[in-house]
Amino acid sequence: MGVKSVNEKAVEVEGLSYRYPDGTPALRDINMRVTAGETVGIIGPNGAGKTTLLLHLNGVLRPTAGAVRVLGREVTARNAREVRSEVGLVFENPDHQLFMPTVFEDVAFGPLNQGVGREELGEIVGEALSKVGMEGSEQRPPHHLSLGERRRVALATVLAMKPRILVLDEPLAGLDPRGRRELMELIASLPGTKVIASHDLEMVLRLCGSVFVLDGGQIVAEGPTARLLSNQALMENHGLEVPASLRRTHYKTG
Amino acid sequence: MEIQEHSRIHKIDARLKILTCAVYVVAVVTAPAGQWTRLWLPIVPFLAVLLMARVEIRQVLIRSAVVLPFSLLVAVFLPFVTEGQTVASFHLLWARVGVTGAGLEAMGEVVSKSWLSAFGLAILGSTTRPAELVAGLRRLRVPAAICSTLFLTIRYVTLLTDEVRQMERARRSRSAKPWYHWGIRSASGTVISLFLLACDTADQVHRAMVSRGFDGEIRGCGSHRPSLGAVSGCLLFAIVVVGIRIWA
Repeated sequence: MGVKSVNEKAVEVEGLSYRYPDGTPALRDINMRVTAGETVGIIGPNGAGKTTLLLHLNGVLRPTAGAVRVLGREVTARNAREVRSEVGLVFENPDHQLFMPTVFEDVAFGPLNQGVGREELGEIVGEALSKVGMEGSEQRPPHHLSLGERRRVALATVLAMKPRILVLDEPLAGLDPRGRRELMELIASLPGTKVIASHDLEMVLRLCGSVFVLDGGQIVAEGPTARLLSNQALMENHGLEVPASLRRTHYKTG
Repeated sequence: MEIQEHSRIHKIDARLKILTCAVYVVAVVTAPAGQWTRLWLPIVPFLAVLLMARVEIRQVLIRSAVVLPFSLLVAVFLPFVTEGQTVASFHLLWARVGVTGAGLEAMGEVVSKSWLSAFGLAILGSTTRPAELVAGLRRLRVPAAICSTLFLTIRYVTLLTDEVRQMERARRSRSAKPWYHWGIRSASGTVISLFLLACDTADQVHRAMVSRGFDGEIRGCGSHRPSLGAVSGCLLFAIVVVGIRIWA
């Protein structure tokens, strides 16, 4: 990877605004840049517009105004298919993402849409499942898996498409502490650019180099994770709170 | 809908199974009136398929029985309107109603043909994964819009069932009354909530599909080239069914 690729912009969002079909504004003048290889967090209270913003990153939603560029190319209806191969979106609810009768078919769904041949499918599915520690579950029906397992398989469905940018919406929601810790380690071990929207600020602190604070459809703050997350006034004004680990550090040093 | 792939029948290319099933359905539906042997004999090779596929017979019978209320609704008037020798009569309100032998036979034929066809389709559905079935239809040049609608219907029926189950559980936790004691107001509220929930979930599922490159085309994981053995087996089955239909 040369010098140029180090500063390559993976995602550029410029003046993005979005209104729901009923006219309700969801996002207003969003500007954000994510450098290739970086892990970025998007935090904010419920209804802030985090999921709506993520849905713009791989062209599922189209901006009412402004533009989204992925790896230098503006996301349009014409190139949405290629963009979806580059940006893998993992949804908050794995049950919405897993809709086939078996894990194999679910993981194969994306590669098949990319035009991958049936001969290569077995290898691709096996590789994706092994990355998330779910090898051997190919023939299991997704609804027979635990929530933690379903979250891993949902991640595998996206990894099988070999995206360069991984977008995760509340990846740890509803998991028990062990499942949460294991999945957090798994996400940390995945290479590439990552954009993570979450309320789990401990995870954001652990995984993300920088964060964007979203509230009322607008970015109200952005900067290095530890600095922003330790700003108590900022956190409380926007329905969040300083993570326990930063509070402990503060007490120890104070 | 769970399909356990544990037999050779399950592994046969979906196109072959669809075509073979179509031959069986045509043979059953076009059986001449009054020829019960020709009508019922094609089920024998299908029973053999059922045994080979090791599918639960009860499950197939339940699925095929779904068609009975509809066919009975159509056929129930035939004994009264078909011309022929009256075999029984009775008073209905102020009129005397006669039942003809030809009418009873016609009713039996309509119900038999619809159930036998549904039985074949139930075996097809029990031995083929939904995505493979839809991909098979697509490869047989059935329009993409029909195939996508079929696939999404299968998917959303499962979602709707899940929603109903969850709402029923939540309701039961607050009331001991069975569903038929809920009252119209309460029941209609549940139906509306269910509809709104289903719409929202369907929207989320569609977004998840679109984000993984879904373009309206369902692509199955199965092989594109059916094996010689599968082709020969299906051909033999079709010949037996057609043979029974013609010569029995």
